[in-house]
Amino acid sequence: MFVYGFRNGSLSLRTVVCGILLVALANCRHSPPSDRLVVINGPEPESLDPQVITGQPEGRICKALFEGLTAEDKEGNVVPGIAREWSVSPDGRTYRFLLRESCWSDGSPLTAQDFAASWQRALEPRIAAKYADLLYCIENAEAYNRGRLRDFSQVGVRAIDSRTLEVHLIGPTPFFPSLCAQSIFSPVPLAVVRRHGDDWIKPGKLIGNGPYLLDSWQINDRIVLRKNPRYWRQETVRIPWIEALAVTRASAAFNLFASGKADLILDKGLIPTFFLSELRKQPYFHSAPFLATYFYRFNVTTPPLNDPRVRKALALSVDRERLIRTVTRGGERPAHSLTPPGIPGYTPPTGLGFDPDRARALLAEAGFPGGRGFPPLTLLYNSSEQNEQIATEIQAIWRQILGISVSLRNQEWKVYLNSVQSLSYQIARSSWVGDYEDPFTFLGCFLRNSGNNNTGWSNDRYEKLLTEATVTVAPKERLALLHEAESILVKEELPILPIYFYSGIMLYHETRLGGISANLLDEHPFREIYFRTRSAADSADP
Amino acid sequence: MLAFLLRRLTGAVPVLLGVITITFFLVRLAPGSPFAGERAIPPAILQELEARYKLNGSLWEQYTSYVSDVLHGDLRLSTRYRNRTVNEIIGQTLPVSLTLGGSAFALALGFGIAAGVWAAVRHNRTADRLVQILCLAGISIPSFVLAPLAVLLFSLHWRLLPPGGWGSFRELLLPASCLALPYAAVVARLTRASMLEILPMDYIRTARAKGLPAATILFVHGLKPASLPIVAYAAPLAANLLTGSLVIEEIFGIHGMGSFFVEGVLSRDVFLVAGVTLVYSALLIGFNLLADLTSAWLDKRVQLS
Repeated sequence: MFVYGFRNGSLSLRTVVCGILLVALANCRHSPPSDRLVVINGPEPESLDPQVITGQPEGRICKALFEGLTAEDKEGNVVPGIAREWSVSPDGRTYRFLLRESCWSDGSPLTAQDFAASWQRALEPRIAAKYADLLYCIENAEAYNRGRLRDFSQVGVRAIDSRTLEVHLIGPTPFFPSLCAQSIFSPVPLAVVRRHGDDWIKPGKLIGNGPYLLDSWQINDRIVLRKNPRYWRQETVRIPWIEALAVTRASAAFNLFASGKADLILDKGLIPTFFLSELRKQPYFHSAPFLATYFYRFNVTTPPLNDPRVRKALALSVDRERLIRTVTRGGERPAHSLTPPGIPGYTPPTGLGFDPDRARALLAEAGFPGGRGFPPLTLLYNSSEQNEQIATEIQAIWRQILGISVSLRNQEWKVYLNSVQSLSYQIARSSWVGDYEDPFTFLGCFLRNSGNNNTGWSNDRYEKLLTEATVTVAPKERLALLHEAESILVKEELPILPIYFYSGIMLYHETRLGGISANLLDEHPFREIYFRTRSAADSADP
Repeated sequence: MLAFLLRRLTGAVPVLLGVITITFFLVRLAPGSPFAGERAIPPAILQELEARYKLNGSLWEQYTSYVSDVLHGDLRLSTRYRNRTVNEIIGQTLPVSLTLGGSAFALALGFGIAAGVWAAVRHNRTADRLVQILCLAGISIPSFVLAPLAVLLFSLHWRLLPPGGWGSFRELLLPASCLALPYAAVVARLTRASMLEILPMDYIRTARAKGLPAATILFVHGLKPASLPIVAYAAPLAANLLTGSLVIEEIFGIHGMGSFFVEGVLSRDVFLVAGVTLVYSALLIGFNLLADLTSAWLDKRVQLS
């Protein structure tokens, strides 16, 4: 998070704000239930076009406005959305979705043709959807998106009739129903898009099919949603109005929550980090595992990081538990794999833990006993207080345990991205948030041709295992292949150094709000949230 | 007067063009793409994005095409906020910044002049010293300390005013006061110093001897000539209040132009940055012109040339 107008993390500021927030804790109270849920949603949404958005704040709003074939419930499970049911062919490559009778918010029927045409739009190069690659599991979708194929009828999406959509995939994709809950798979009202162009997402023009309608949108202030009376299960939606506030500053968000002006903070970036140890003791603080990993990348094209023994030594010398206890303090878990635990049916391999003796031995074996002769390295991170603290801690650990010198370099976000993506770094801080509950969302990043690899690393056996996994139908066997591939990544080769698994953090009073549940995807659909009645709240009060 | 106005307005055109040119090239030459994210974008998508925003030719072609659009009143689409034009963003956020800045300006001048006059009249007495101490505190306490303290006291502790948001007078009061306070202190000191020079003058003594009411002497005969340095300070004050409200906007969660400017810089949104800079520059030129005209009206010796 960027802090303007003062030195990031300066002691004076921290002391002042921390003191102020501590006093605020004592005043933290909540208002009686109303018909309006006020949510602090994070930064101003870049767009509300479900096919071009990339961030969580936009995603939350879009999932309230549009519903795909499937949806997520409050537990993060994939449940039927507009599709009443679906079937999969024995080879796992063909999905047939049967749509329920539903309509757009203007009353016009929502058909399978709408879905096919919407997915075509998402794949059109001119739309330039940054998440279009989520559809690449569909036959010929990648070729169409990259302009190599002009005829959409060659793409594996077909509306058999108004209520049946058939999708042909390039291989068995057991997580495809979960993909269908992603915003880019949502239907969009193409007639409205054609009529209004870029303005179609504005209030009064936007037509959706989700539980809520766009009532108003005051830029960088608030988005107001009202219940959609034409939503197919509108009787289950219990809060008539949602106000999503655009707030980027943690202290402002907390002030609004503490003074009762907001009911719910959903964005992890809006929790004052220096204040976490106090905040965690409060009854309204809720944290849960989240499908995201904080890790360091090694540029394996530069010596001495081209030697796996060196990379292993660097990984073995990091005491993640201590880092989490002393630096992050937000309920994170130490990471020894890239994939976070919790994905159904998948146990990630346990990578290298803290073993300083073995780290020193490996470094000596690589030709640097006691760190002698080890060339100076630079650790790159994007400017943020927490990244700096972690980097400083790890720099000290490597100096103490391995006797090597690593200098720190921080860069502003866009400059940092440029450095990482052009391999102009030696060690770089990174993170990855899973898009769906499957290890492939993480492991696919380190394929040779993946644009998200950014390490220069590739491994034939890893490629083979992942390729094999994409054509394996049996879930158990497929996950075993992915497990083996991840073992190469975090036990043998280590182009990355996993540090911790993020936790999703929310602030809300359990006695006031219901329908929110911790889940790995950090999905909390508005349609499931409700206000507890006063009597229920009273009886729930300790 | 009209010739002066025309000259100044004509002179503003190359200044604004220069501002646009410098901003455009600075942002475009800064490392990092406006479309880059943690997730890699396929080259084909990147090309489409560049074409959509007319950022795919040479730098010179991009610049000339942009200037041509600006001259036609089109500040283009924001690269950060897809589906939104810069005209629309400025149209929605400028009134907010102007309201906040304008309120703070009125508070700074109102309280500053009143305190300054009062301190000058009570020269070397307790009231004078009290005003001086308060001015020192006002100038010394940074807004990022003052604003959270104000929120703590007025919003969280006494629950008198909301801690953030926008739209009502109550929501405006706290941020406008926090923004105005340091400037009110400067205005008070300027007023006090200026009044201390004016009050011993012969014509003031004459006015007293004629038996004119104290208020007339102070505010008509005293304050009018004493306000010249305040008027000279008013243009940079207005500009500072308008462009310097970023910290306050952030702390109180107000959707002014400042936050968009910073967001634009960080996300390399060249059109948003250039558009906001253009508006700020135009306002600054306008304020300076207004200050010159006011000075000429207050003091006939000031030549509009």
